[in-house]
Amino acid sequence: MRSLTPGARSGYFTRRAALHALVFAGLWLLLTGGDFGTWYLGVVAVLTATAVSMRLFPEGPGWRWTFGGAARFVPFFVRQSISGGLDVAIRAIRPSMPLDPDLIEYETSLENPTALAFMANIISLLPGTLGTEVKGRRIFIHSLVGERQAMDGARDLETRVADLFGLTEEGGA
Amino acid sequence: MIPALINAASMFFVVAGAFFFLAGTVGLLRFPDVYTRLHSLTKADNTGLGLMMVGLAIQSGSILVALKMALAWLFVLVSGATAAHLISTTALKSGLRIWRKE
Repeated sequence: MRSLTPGARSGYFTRRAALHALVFAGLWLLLTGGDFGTWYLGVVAVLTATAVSMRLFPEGPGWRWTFGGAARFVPFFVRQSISGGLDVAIRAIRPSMPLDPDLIEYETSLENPTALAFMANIISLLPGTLGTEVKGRRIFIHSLVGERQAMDGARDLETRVADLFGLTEEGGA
Repeated sequence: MIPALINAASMFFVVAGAFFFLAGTVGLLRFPDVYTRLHSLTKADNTGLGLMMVGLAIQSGSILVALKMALAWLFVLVSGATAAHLISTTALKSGLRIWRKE
């Protein structure tokens, strides 16, 4: 952690907590359909959720999603989800059950822990790949589609995640 | 005309979603090891539930209900991917070998 003056630290903490509370309040409003009749339950739920998430969420470098990156990521994700679902459905249903599993290791250049965790999770939803153990910046990928295709998929996903999080890829590797 | 169209579209999405759930279950039963089964489960949940939610959302005709469904889908995605990650990591760490084609 960078050293911050006590004042700046507590200001940062307050801003973080306020942001979490705002998100949970929005969720509560959505779930109740904008009904304020039981607002006191909402206050309890929002405060509890904020306290829990402040404890559980690792305090690391911040992150954000860029608008343009998100606009490019969503259609990519929808397309890949459908082809990922179809791919595994066909493998399951075909009598010959074509499977050629392999375990491969992929080293990412994503340094932001949130972006890295995001990528490791999204890999599981893309065609033929399952994100397993993460060691440092190495992601172990279980692949049904051979090493080559899984590597290409992971590289493509990495570029898109970097775009989504607004991380410029300096120097690649 | 319009209600019939909405019904048809909604039915298409729900049936397509059900197909993915069915295929995911078939994979769960047929696939040879824990890793390949996780593939089947996570993808079936994502695609199957996503399509079903689209079908039901256009049927509901309410933005609020549609948003709630999108939220439910998102939570299933996050918890499903996290669970798959934890199960496969634990399996690897405890030395469970992956199934390979002979």
